[in-house]
Amino acid sequence: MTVPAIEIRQLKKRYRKVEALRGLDLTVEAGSVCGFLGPNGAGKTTTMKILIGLISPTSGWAAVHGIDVRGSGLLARSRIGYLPQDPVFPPYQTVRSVIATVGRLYPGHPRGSTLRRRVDELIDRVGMTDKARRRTAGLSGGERQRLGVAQALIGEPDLLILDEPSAGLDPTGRRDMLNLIDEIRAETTVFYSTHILDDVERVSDTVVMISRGAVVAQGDIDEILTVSDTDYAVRLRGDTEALHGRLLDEPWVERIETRRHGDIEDWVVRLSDGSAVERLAPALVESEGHDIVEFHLSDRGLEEAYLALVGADDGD
Amino acid sequence: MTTDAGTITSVEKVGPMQGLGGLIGVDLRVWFPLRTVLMVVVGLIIFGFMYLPWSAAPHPSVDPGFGFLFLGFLSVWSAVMLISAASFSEGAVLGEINRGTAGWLAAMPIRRASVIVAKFATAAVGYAVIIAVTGTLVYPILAGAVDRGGTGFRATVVVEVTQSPIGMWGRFADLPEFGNYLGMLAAIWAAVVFVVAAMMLLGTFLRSRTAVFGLGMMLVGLIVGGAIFGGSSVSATPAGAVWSVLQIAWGNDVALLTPIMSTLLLSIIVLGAAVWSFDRRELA
Repeated sequence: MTVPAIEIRQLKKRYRKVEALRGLDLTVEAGSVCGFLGPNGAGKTTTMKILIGLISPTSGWAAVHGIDVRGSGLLARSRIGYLPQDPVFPPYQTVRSVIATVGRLYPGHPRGSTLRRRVDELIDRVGMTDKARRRTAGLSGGERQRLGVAQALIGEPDLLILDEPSAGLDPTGRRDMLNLIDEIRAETTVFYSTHILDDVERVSDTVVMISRGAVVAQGDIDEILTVSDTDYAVRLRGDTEALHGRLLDEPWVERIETRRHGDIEDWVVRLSDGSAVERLAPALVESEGHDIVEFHLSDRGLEEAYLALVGADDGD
Repeated sequence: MTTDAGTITSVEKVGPMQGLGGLIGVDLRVWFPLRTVLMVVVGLIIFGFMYLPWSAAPHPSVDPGFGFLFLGFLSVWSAVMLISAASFSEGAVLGEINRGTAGWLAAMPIRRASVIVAKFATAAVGYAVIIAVTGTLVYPILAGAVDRGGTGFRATVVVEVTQSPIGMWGRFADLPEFGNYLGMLAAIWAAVVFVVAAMMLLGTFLRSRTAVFGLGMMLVGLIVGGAIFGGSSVSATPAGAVWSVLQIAWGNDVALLTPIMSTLLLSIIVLGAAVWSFDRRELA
């Protein structure tokens, strides 16, 4: 059995009167790209800071690759690369020296020309070759973000924790960041928080949704997007009126939502139970006057799933 | 994990001061060359302000003597070193915490103690260089002043009332041998290092840099005041280290080793407290 990249059990964090985490439980499998979703103040950054040892939990337990982050924080951190929400670096250091400095802080780091080559490789990877000698004080927000990713990767971590990596980036920067996450999925586990649902859908294998300090959903992104086994999406072309009426008369059909675009009609058919699909499928095929373009379990957009699970409240 | 550029060794255990060398490398860049050169120049300017009026026109009736120059320089220079230690160190920890770079460092695979120890060690080395270089540069000029003005029973004119000079009278010291002189510099360094440690401790638990700086300046005031008025009762404290230097410059025979060692021991205790406090602070 593979040890999970992140395992958190009953994690609680209280700041005076505010309970930031209320018994958080989550698991992130090694080798996955996991999107960590939640409204502002839900506890995403708090969770990440506990994993990285910047703050201590009030109670509960968290482990990175099986290493307790409280008892063996140093060892755990030696396997983590971290990009904070708003990365800040010593203003007098250059892009190149920041990455090299971080590289030297990792145990067993490469030295000399190997380290220099690795630094150059990362600078190139995040598209900052022309800014390698620039002091960090002169970098824009997006450039600091890219430098943040490069320095997080220099230790060749088994787990990369990125706190809102695409926040504040322009569309090109955001696309580049997603491409980078996509690229590094083969090298390391990525656990990143974001508000941008499209990003999650694009690059994540798994999703953890958090609200008010507790996980409301987690799993494969397909599972999260699937509403239930009773809702089926049907796309039809042609005359659908007769079929629509006939299905509504069936006792095993609860309702049909319809939407028409041109000669295409999209239906979401809700069945009384999952087994009724064995009746729905023949009914669609046997009926005449239309073509069936698509037929599958209905899923929802991530935004819809997010709003349904997390609610519209912002958690603050 | 492997890349084209290299492989990181799998590490099962991490050393107690993991990353200290890397952090010292970063912090040394703060001290060398800018701060060290600046503070050496400041020390030389202070010496120049003391030396020029002394050498230009001694009072016709009273020779101000070498002691005026020696005692005056060491008094003012010690105070300036202590003030600079408070100024340079007020942001060493709290500045990094407020800026967010302390959190950035603490997220690395290093012990937080390394952050404090690296900052303290580089400041200690920086001040050792500043004090040693400045002290060594002025020593030959002091030796020349002895040749010119001599030592012995001398008077220093502070004001002149009805043609009678009123001022400090007494037997000033001879210029100590270079080895003993280095001991005096070490005592000043020990007091400065204590201020650095104290500023770091304040930075680990206070939230305002103004408060850190204010308390630091109060501490410097206490050390300077103790050095002037404390007498032998403060000898085992940082004030005692400075007091011993001034006493030797005045011509009294006092031991340097005890104040130096006790001040360094106090610095280590304060530094330990800073490490303990920083380890428990939650970082943004």
